[in-house]
Amino acid sequence: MIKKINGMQLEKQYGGKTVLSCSLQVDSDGIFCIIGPNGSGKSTLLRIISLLEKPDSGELVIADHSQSFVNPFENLNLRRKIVLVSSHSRLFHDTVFNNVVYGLKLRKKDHRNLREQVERTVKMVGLTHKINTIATDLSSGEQQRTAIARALVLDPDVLFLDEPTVSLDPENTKLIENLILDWNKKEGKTIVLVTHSLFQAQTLSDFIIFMYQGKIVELSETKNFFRAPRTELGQQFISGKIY
Amino acid sequence: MSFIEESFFKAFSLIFSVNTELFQIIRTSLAVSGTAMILALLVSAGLIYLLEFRKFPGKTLLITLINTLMGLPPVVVGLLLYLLLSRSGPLGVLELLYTPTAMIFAQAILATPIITGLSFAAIRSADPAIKLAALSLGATEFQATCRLVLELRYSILASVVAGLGRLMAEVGAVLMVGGNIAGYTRMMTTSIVMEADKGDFELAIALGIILLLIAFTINGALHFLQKRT
Repeated sequence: MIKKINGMQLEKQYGGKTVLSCSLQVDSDGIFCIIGPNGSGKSTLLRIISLLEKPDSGELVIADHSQSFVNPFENLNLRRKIVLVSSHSRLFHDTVFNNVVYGLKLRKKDHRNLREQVERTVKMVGLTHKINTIATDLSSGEQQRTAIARALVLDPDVLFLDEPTVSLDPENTKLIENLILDWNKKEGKTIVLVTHSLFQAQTLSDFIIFMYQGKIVELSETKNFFRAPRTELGQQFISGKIY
Repeated sequence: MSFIEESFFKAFSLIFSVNTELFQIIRTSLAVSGTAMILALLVSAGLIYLLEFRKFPGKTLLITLINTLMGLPPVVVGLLLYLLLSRSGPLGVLELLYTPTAMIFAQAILATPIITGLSFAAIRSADPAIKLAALSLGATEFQATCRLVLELRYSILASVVAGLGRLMAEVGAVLMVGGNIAGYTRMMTTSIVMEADKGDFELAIALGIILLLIAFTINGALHFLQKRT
């Protein structure tokens, strides 16, 4: 079980421009929301701490109950304890069932229970009636719910979500938010979420990670951040002066 | 009855009378092209693996070479293979000239760049989110690429069909290295050229019809496969 994610002086450049330069520690099983204006490095940070992209420099330490792994980007076992769901997740051109079962098959889980596990998760996201439908033919809300099911069925230690409700209608947004909250409550595992919606950050998260121009400006409890941000930038962001 | 009508009538008679010579030619063509196709697929799979997963000097040069060879003139392949396999050539000792094996090599050389080039281009231009999705669900780089190939199955199948089309329609190279020997290296395309040259159009037309039918069947199968999946 992953207990801690510690990023030290992580740096990432694209085309000679530094888009990320920060340190971060995630060591609680709550919901962390990464917020900040466009281009502040939120998604880059998420891809790095979810082991999908290497930083140009710095150190990423992931610790479970017994040992710490430094820059474990090639550690498949560790990678399989972490799942990232992107905004507009790209589903495979296959049925909902086959999309959801994909990660389980990679982990060579007991094949007798696969169907049951998949059906249970698909039911949880309210898509039982669409289980044999080609996933790419679903509406965008249903596709995103399939993507969430594809992640939740794997029961990850840490779930990363990159703007999971962007451009969804209010009904699907609410459904996905409830799924996230229920899963966190039931499983007690860490969720790190990038969002542009301050309302979502306020209602979903326990902690806020506020980023600006590739740096983490604040990491504090959600209620404290929204009541009284410690920094001038945080205040300006909440009041909509920077976006 | 006009000359063309008469030729077509005789051609259909040949097909329906199960003419031994005709079916021998079809058998040789299918065996040579089928084997060449398998060889080209294996080499293409190896090349795509190399290009996708391995870093080596000259990789860009290899990609450029493959793309250039996609338009390789068959007679040039025929000429090069002829020089290599002829008695005084470096591979003359193998005694492969004027054998089906030489024709298989010629066809495989022609089809491989097409299959490799088009498939690799499809993989490279694919939505990177497909691979990222597989990786984020715990796939290894190889498993993610396999998933990507599965997602691109129509484009890759189309490149295989393009390669097969090149094989089936090929004349120049197989004529040079196969020699068009009756009952041994005579193929549909080389027979069509020879029979038309002799003025015996019925066999040429019969073979043309069969070639078209084969092309139609392959494309029909691909279309069926696309609809089914």
